[in-house]
Amino acid sequence: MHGRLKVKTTKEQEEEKRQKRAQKVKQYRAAFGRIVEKRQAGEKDEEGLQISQQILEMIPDIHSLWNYRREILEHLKEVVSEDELQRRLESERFLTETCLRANPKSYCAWHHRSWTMDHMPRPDWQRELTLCTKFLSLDERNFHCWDYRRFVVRRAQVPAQKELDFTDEKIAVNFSNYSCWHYRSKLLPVVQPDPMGVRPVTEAKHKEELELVQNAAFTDPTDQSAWFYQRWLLGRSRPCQAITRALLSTGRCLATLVHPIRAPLGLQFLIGAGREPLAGTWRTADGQSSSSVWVFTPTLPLPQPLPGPVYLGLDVDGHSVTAELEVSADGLSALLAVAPDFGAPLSPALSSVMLEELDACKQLLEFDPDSKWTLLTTVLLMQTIDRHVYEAETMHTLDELVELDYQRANYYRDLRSRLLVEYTLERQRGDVVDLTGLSLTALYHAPLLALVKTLILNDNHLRRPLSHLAALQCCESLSLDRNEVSSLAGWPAMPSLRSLSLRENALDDLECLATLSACPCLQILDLRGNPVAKGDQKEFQKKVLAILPSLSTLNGEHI
Amino acid sequence: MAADSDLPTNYDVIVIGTGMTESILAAAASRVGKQVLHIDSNEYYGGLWSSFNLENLNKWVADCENKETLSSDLDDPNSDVKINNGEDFVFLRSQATHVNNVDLKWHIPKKSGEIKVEQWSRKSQTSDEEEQIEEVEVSESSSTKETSTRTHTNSESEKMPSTQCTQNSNWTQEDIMREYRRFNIDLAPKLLFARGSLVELLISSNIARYTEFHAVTRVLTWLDGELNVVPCSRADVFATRHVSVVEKRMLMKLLTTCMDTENLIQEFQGFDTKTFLDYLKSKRLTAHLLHYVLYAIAMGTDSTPCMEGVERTQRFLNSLGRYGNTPFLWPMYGTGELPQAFCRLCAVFGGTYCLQHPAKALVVADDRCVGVVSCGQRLAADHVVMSISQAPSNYFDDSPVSGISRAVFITNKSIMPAEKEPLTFLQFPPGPNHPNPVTVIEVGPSTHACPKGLFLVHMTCKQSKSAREDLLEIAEHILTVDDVNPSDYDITTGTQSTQTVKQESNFAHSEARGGNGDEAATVRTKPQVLWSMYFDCLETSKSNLSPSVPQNLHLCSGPDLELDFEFSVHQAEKIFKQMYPDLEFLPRAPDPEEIVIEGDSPEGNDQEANLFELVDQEDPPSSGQQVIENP
Repeated sequence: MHGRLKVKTTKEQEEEKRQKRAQKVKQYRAAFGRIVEKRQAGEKDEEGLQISQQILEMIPDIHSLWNYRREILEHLKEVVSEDELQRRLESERFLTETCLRANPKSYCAWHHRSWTMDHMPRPDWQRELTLCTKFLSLDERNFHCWDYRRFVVRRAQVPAQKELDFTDEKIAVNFSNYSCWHYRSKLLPVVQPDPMGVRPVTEAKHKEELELVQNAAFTDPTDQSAWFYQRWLLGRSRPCQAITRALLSTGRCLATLVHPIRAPLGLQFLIGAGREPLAGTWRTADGQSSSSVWVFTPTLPLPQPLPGPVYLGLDVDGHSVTAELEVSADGLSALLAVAPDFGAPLSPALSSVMLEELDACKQLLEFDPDSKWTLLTTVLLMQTIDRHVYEAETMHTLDELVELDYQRANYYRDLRSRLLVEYTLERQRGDVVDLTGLSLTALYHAPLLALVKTLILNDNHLRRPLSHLAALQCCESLSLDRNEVSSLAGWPAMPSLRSLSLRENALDDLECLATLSACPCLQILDLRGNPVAKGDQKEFQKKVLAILPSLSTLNGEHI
Repeated sequence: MAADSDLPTNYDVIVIGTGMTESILAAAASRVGKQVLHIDSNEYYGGLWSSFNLENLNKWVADCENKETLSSDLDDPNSDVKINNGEDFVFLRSQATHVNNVDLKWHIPKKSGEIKVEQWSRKSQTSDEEEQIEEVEVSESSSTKETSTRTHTNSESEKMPSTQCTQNSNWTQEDIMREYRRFNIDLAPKLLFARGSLVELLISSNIARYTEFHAVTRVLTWLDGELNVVPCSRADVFATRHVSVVEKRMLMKLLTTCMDTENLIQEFQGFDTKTFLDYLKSKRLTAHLLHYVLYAIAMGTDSTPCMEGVERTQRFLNSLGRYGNTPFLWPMYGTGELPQAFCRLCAVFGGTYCLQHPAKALVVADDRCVGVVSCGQRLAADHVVMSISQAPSNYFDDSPVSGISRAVFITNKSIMPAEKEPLTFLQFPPGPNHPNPVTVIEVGPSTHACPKGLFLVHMTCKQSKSAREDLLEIAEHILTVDDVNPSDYDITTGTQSTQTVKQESNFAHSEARGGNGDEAATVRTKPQVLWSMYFDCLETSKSNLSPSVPQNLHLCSGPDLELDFEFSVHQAEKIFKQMYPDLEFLPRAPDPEEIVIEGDSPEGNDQEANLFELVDQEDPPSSGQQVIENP
């Protein structure tokens, strides 16, 4: 008879495991202590490599150990032969491989691998590429590996077409793959750029890609990754940088731009027929380092009246562009207000593609009326195709989305707010803009309101820190009645503000009124209907005046 | 058998026959510490669940044909075994009685050597380029002339490079027999659902380490007179160009609905008494989608009840995405490996194995089986487990008469060549001439089913006449069956070969020869059958047993008609619970490092220890092969 089998009990096994772990901790402590000693002593030797390797094989995510290894290797690079260096870096590469097998998402191991490859005298990039392919066949969504692959592809100069074929394969296996779609969006414009510059790729390929996305959408409309890719495909080129508003007057000089800039490069007023630059300094309206609203302070008082035409210059991508301001009849000020452009018409070809996409979305909605990605895509498509034709439908769809996808309700509300402001700004021009009762949750396009004198935002849902208001450099009267403002913390400096109405909001803290002292012209303040204004009015008035002594009218009462 | 090799006579369990259910039970009993004797009259494991190489298959066929002599060969057990008063002998039958209508045939000449065949062989070595050009020519000529959609529209085979295509009929019997060892031909080909009870059992019991699998690569169906790939996974649905985007949504939506167990009752209200077909029609699926879902995914028929169809769809979908692109696994080296894996575990835990050890009779007293007569010995056990195929006819209330029709073909290429070697599952929907669906499994060399360059096609359906009559028509849809008597080859080898060669040369000159091209193209598209075997096997899974079966005798059914192993696993578990209601059915077997050998043997020379070492040293599976792991 043979010996019988006996199975170890779980207790015995646990005890064994515990002992092993204790042993490991002890080893680790000893080894790490030794490394710290050596590194402090500046020892860059074999022992350092060996000990750090032992620890890294167990725990690959210790940056300092990898750093120490690189220090040692860089030192060795100076003293050993090329063959020796190659050999060492190959074993280094092998170490990262061991670590990545244990933890395929180790940032430091991936980083060390690219470092190793870049320092190798004779790197075998083809081998790396093959490894990436293998790695991605095991986990097609490991973005570390996708990143490393792009690094290898750059070094090995793999043709973009080949990589595009690879993404084809991966998408076919599993289209829920952000990394892969993203890679496609980088490769396609290289492989098949659109000669017309209208689309991201050639017309034929564009159609093909849209079909691909449509297949994904119809297979699984709840998968976001393909929808994101579709957004890229349908995305319009970013509008060009340009000047949207400009004002040159004795009290106030400013310029607003389409995109924020970090430094006022080339931004300057030019006056007279000779386009003489006006000396002065520029600062951002909100004090941030990057902004699209810039305020100008001339060094000398402005000539009165202005001598001839006034221009504003700006550097865009290294080119200087200028816009001419309109000088007022009295010659005391000059003004520029470009009509807002929230969506230029599409070329007929692109428009028909978009219409097809919209049609497909509507078909999809017949099957799944609740599919949020489909609904959101219809909104974006409708806005791109013709924002006026689809105005009502857009708003209706957004309301639907708020209901359906409650967790992202505020996202849809903000989007809705943006579109509503756009529609309003197209209709209302001049010194007064009325945005009453639009259920706004955010104030978009504030820079376009830089020249407005009266802004009415009554009956909305504004509540967040209203730092956007910094753009309202010319605003004298601002009304925010019946919103959800609960604090004035972060209230920006509004140099022209004379009258502020905040009736029926949720302000309950007197102290926060102090921020309003940044508005030097503020005389009229209305806080009726706020928790803070309850109780004895005399007492209240006194307290407010202590904070804002320059007020002349509070809560409708002259002081 | 010599007296010195006599077995100990007392056991907890004696298992007679090494079929699937018997082997699971042997392993389960041994695993919980029962003393098990497992015997089989054959020299191989598996009985009717076995897989054979080509030579052993011939032997098996011969055995089936000689069943009369075998059964009469039984010694009179009275001669060497004594029984007491009140005890009776119950004589057992040979397994072979369950197999009928065996029909094995070659469809190729015995040897080459005929001049024209040689010419063809030489021709087949032309460069790849030339061959490709030939193919293009044929496709063009046929598509202009053929009005039917039979071969050249939409079929994926046209797009894929068909590497086997030109190695057509230059195989000879000699060529194939030279490689007879490379065949593993299954008597009971079955697939495992990736989340079926067998896979779960293999994992939970840790028996999975004795087995290796290949994932089935595609599910095909027969639609409008041609083979279609059924888009079953999300990736398939996304990638297929055969259905419109709207259909994609319909299909995905339907599949999601079937999986949405929460709202199932609401969704299927009013369909309790209707068919699955009615339900699918109510969803206004297109004809293609309806076909995919009903016949391929649910593997149903027009009369499948609605809720059964839903359950079958769920079973299919539940198993998707675990090991490959389809829900199925196929065992490497054939299904015969699976009973053996369980036997191995039984042996590791101390079970005794004796092949070529027939049980001739049972000794029965007072409704109990008190002895098993085998090789001149009387053996005793608390429980006797036996394959139903050996049970005497008085153990059945109604003897099973009809059963399963089976066919196996050796072919020269895949029914739909693909870039990588395919492993195909195909369910033929019932048709006007064949009331039952036909299950087709095609396996290739990488599963060790056959040598390189060949494929095995298995067909299974419910028997209505004989296997040949039941299956030939279906086979001819996808294969070219040159049905000639092999003796014809011996006499008129020349004629046969010439015909083949002629077809091929027609083919090369199809443009010039006009009309003949169509015929040749059809020949070319379908794989050629080189060898075929048909047989019928009794289906015993639904047999009604009579009350005369002794209480402690447990009968295990033979292979059932279903595609998977569900029935065997459930039957084994049920029988085990009858035998040992309080013990666990196949608990996880320990890994080698969890084992200590009792009785200090530091060298570790014990058999068990060695076995585990062997397991440990097994090579890691190469890519493409599946080792079951709990993900």
